[in-house]
Amino acid sequence: MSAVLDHPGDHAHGHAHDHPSGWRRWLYATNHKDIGTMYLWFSFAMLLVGGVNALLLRTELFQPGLQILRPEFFNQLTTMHGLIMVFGAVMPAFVGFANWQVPLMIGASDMAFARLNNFSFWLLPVAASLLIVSYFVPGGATAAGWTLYAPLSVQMGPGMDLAILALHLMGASSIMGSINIITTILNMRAPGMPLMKMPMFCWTWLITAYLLLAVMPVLAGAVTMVLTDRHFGTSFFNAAGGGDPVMYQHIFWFFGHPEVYIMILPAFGIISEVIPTFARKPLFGYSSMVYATASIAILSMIVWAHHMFTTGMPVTGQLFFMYATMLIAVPTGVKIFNWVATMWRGSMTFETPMLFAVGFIFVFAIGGFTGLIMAVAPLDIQIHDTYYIVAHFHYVLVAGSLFALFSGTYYWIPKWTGHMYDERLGKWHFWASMITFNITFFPMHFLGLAGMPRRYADYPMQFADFNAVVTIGAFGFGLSQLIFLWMVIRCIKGGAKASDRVWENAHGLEWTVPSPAPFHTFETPPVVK
Amino acid sequence: MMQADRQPASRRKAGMAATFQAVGASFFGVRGRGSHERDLAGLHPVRVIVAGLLAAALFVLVLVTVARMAAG
Repeated sequence: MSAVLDHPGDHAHGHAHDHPSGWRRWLYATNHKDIGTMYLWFSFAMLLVGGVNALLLRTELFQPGLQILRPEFFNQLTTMHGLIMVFGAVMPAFVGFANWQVPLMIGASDMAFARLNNFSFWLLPVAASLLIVSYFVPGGATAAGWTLYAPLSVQMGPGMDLAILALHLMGASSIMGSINIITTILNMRAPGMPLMKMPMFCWTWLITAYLLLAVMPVLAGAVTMVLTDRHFGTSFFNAAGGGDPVMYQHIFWFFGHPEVYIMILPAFGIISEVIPTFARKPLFGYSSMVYATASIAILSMIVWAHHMFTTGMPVTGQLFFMYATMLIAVPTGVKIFNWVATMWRGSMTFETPMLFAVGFIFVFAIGGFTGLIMAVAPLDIQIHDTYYIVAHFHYVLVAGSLFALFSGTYYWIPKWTGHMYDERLGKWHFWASMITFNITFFPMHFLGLAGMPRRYADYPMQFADFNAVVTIGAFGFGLSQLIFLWMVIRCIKGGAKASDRVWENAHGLEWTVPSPAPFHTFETPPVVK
Repeated sequence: MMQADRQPASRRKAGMAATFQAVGASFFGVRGRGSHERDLAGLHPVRVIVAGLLAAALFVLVLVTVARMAAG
């Protein structure tokens, strides 16, 4: 560790002449802030690519009948939208936050393995290129759905191989990133900061990193078996050769369900930082929050088959996965309770980070409740693969993960750029996102309950009105994100000078360094009292 | 903050009952401040991991039993 911590020469004064400039600064980047910035820009670019995919889908679905897309291409867009958003947008965005914030919050000078960090990031643009190029190979991109179920995934064209390789690269990136985050948090905390005094964001990321280490290799195994089934004569998932396509679903969801928590636990961490600042009270039940995060992570490993109730399983199996799934509501409820209790009788103000945090609690709770409904096996069999499911996971992943990412960006961007963002733009962004998000996704519950299946390019006339509303909402939501982009660009270019502490009740080591945070921080570890 | 009186992990002597209590709290997601402070002072990390694995296995067994009973 000392090899990383000891910088030769005198770096005590913040300056910028000791690091490369131009393209070398980014290609050879080893600084956690530079790498964090690259992660964040990459994930935003992917958000836009995945968003354009979604808007193309919604354009086709604006009216019944086939208007602009061939059904095959529609299926490709559906698949790529999911893969790009999950692996290209949400996950890298949280790693970007971890890169920027974890060292600053624990008083470390950088991440533990700086070059590994560089490698973790640069694998991602390669993987994204593979995914995007796959649209242009014979047969187009994979159209098996983001879950890549066999036998479809065994039958697809070369686009599927590119997707498998992309997933391998993104998985390797996540594993290396997790090793880095775990080592940084366990070994490089400032003197006087035991684990149980660590900021909640770092706790949630520590637990998330262990989850990633546990399940990313499982995904790699699943897609490798698909690859060998496709090209090397194996029959893991081919019933004709003695294999079992349902086994793919089990293996995939053993990764896939913890993956859901991988995308939401760091969001919980961000919300747990923002709410105490703007409620001007310490986080209620800090240790319970840590325990609840651990509990959610443990439970997430034993509920995977609730995604598969319709594949046929013994009643005992259905009941087991149903009970285990419903139990996750307990620690999640603890978290919601603690956030509300933190706000209770606090001197609250509603700057944009707080608006997104409160909005997160509201919409995430809706997503949580619909999840509880789907946990009930007989109900799930009715709504499986309908738009009810699409509504549910977008409430959790867009209004959950994405709103938390926005909240965190508004909260820390003054520290990153040295400028205050435009509060008026922030509020516009929040209200536009909140309203259009609900216009887009709330009617999907009704469509699902009425029986509209997901992943189809066409639908019967009785679903026309709600689909038209959903498409209008989707375009509104997509355009609202341009306000965010405009806010970020303006904030980088200039604006009111941000103070070191930025928010009057912000606590934590990141607020003790100047704004913008200098290239090197905490070269001498701070002592936490 | 690192409490000055905290024992090194190897010398912490909290019993099995206390260890399982803490693990149980982590399954539920709630822990009072006083109990949490006692956990920090007394629990041995290796025992906590072993207790966690045992408790997870027990939890699965209990759920399977309940599911079997409900399925009749």
